[in-house]
Amino acid sequence: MKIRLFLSAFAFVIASSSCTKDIDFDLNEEQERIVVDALITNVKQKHLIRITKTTTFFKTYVDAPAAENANVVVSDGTNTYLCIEETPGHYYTAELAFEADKNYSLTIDYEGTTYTANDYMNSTIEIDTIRTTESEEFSFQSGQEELLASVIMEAQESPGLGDHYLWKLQVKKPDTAYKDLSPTYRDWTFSSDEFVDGRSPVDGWPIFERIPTSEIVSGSTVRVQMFGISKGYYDFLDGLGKQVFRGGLFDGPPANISSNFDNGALGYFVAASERIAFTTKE
Amino acid sequence: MIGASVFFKELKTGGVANIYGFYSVSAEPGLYTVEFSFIGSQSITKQIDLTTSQTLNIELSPSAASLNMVEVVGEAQNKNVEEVQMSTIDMKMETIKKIPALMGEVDVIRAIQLLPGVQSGGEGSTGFFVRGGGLDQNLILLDEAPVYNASHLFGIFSVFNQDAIKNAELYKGGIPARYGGRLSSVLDVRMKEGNSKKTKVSGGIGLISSRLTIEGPIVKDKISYVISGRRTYGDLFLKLLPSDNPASDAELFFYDLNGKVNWRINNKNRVFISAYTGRDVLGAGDLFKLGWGNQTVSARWNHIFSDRLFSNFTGIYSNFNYNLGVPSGPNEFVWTSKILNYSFKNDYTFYANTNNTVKFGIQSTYHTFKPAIIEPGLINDAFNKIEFFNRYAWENGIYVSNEQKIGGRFTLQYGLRLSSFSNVGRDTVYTYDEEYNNTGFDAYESGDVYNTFANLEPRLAAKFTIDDVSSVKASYNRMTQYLHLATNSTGGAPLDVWMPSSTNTAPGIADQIALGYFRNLNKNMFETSVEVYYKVLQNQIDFADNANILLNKQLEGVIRQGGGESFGAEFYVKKQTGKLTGWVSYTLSRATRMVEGINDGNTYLANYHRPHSVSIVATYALNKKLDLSATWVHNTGTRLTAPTGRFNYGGELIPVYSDRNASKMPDYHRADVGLNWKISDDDKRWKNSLNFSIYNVYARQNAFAINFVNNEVNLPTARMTYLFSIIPSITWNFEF
Repeated sequence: MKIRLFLSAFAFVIASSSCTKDIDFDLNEEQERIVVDALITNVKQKHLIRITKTTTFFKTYVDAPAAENANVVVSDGTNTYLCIEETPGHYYTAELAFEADKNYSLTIDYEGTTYTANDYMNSTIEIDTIRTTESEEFSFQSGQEELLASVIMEAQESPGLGDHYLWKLQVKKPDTAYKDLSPTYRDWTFSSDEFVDGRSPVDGWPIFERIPTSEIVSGSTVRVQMFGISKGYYDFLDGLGKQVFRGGLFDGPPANISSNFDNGALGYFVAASERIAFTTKE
Repeated sequence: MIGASVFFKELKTGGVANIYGFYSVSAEPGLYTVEFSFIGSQSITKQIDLTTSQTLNIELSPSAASLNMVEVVGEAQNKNVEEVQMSTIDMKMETIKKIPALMGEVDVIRAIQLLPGVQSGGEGSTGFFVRGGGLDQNLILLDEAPVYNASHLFGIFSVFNQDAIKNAELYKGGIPARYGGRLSSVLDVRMKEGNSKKTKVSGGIGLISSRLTIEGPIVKDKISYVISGRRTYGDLFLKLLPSDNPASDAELFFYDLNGKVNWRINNKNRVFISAYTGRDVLGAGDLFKLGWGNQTVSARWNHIFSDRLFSNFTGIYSNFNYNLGVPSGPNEFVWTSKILNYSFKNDYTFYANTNNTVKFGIQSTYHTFKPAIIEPGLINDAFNKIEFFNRYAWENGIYVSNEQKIGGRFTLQYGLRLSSFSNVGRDTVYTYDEEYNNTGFDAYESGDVYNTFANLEPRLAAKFTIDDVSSVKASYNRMTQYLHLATNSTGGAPLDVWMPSSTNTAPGIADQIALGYFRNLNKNMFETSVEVYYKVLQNQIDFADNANILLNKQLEGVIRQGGGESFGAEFYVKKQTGKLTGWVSYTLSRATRMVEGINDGNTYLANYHRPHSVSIVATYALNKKLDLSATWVHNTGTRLTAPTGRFNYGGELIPVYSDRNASKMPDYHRADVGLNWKISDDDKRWKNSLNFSIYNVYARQNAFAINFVNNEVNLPTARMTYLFSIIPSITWNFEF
């Protein structure tokens, strides 16, 4: 939004008119905590539960250290699914599809502590079609108009507020493997149904915008994953943005993002219905 | 004359003229020797035969003593020991002018921050925090009109122009029943009345601003006026830059304009109209423009019904607004926000007898809140006009209090204020469930009074005189506040959003008890006091973790309310006479908050919690023409929430934070020095003086903010932002 952009510019003017200095600051480095990145869906596959550990703040960051030899179990209340550690910190379920409209729990036993999280797998809407478009847009990098691509989704949103969505994008150019265009949080798109509730927008939903046209060349296969996520996870994603894009004059006080785990574990256990749609760029 | 005193020698009793220049003494009929005196004036003693009703107008002529001496006499009273009012400090502009000033800009609020129990918002901030209360809990009054944002230039200076202000009185506790609407303090700033004898011009030229004041009689001894202006001129220098330099069309200035007219109609009726307008403008050509300011108007009719019953009828208008945006081009837009109110007050003082002074009155205020309207320019189609709902409220107060002398030593002041606050339509109020999820909205028609709060606010104060030079005092006050300031900053940023209490947000309540011991030493040369206080706050607002604060139509949904607690001890020693004058203050305090949903519901320190705070202010008169001054302040650093570790999620490095405000910035300390040089003799009509100030003499780099960022080699680091190093300044002042 242009107003936010303006405010950032304004904050920059203020910041640049003062002086800065790097200082020694004693942080109360706290005990290591575990960080969970877990996603189970209704698509038949081996679902990944990745467990890492926090690191001290003032340290060159290499890779998150894995939390190994944990006991990891998914449960829907009746059935339990044991996860196997295939590589350090990466725990997989057997190949299976979880059912939507059920509550799931994830229990992790690690170094004598048990961590538990719950998430409800909402069923989600169908994707009618996806398509790509191209248009001239102002590029902040080059300062000029540039041809940029968008991915548009056509779908009928279900009536009643409270639905939340997360999209990820992969593209396979002719004669290459799929490339993940959503490798990190800042390349994901998520939204609530606040502005589209119960509607099918006339021009579709622009779910990915401002993609360099070199990423989606003629003949490319575009693959979109859509996840129907819980409000809890939506709030978590929204909170992540506050951390990732922090530094403005208008930030609230810093605060940890609420996890759905107990006992101080970080991250989120996500149970989401997944839809996958494809299109080919002509 | 405020503070002029009258003394009946036979009765050993007397009175001091109140803030309207009136006084009252009850005496049996008889012959009395009465002494009239005032700071800087020769005392007059008269024999008065009190058998018939009579009116005596005493004119006090200025004494031959120098201005410097005048002040000494003025402060030599043992007012602090004698008065029942505790936790209050009256700052005269003359005192404030001697304190070394940042960039030569003498500032009332910066002087207030040097007092015990008052914490500054940080480097370069005129925001202040009184006894653990928040930034928005200070009722700042300019001739009775509330000032919502008393800051210029993001809080570096305050809106009070030194030439237009006569004095400022700060109440930190035991707040009298006539004041209401804020929880923690009242800063009552009074404008000059204007010279009713002869026309005078005064002003000053400083490094960043110039000032000019003209005052004088319209009708001699009847009608006087004062008009005073100040403008900074940083932008005029920018204009000198070559026109291809982008800074050459930058705008950066503020101005203040104060005016007041006093009309003494007759002995029973007086009227004044006082007005203020001020604005900050910050812009860079077509890129952006930001402006903010306050306007206030107050008109008061002062009427004496009888020798014992005094009254004031006051009409007040106040408005704070800001606008920002892109002034032209394809991205043109303007964002405006405003809070304004109209208020009417009627106050009475009834001198029942020698031992009882009753005050009572009413106040009614109509508030209008216009949180935000954002309008794109004609050729900007990036977004539609965004308009937040206006909100309206009606605030009322009625109070009565009595100051009662019991025997020679004991004085009690007891009062009660009944306040109410009603939300008025047209309004659209979002509704929320217990988990703050929006459940829809309620719409109200124009004029609908859809929600009302009412609160009783008892006020109590007591003084026991131990002897001529010492007393103990105690007080209790309950205050209610119906307006909340939604801000994430501690400094008084201009993008403030004031919001009313409503069905979603309860009014804040504060209960404070204070106890103090007051003792003057060496014939009132030294004034000393120790005060302790304990304050409990209810319904304090904070934001939910990671809330969207900016442009959030459902701001009430991210507000969390909880309690707060603060306590402390304040030590104050002031030397009032002699070549060396000034004060030392030390405050030991603690301020905490507990808000459900924040910091896991655990108690946390307020970010302006500063356990130790020391100020030393000293002025030394080298001779009749030269005054040296120095200040030194030392505060425990501002609290902050710092990362304690980090983790990887979604390919991003996310900090793990400590508990809310669990860390602190480095301690703040700074010394300033100043020199006042009176170039001309005091008896000349044309007077001029030079003021030299050095702010931050030893160039301490005090933290304004600390951010945790990655440095050039991508290593996480703590980066401190600081605003000022050493700043020398020179100001030339004149008067004729």
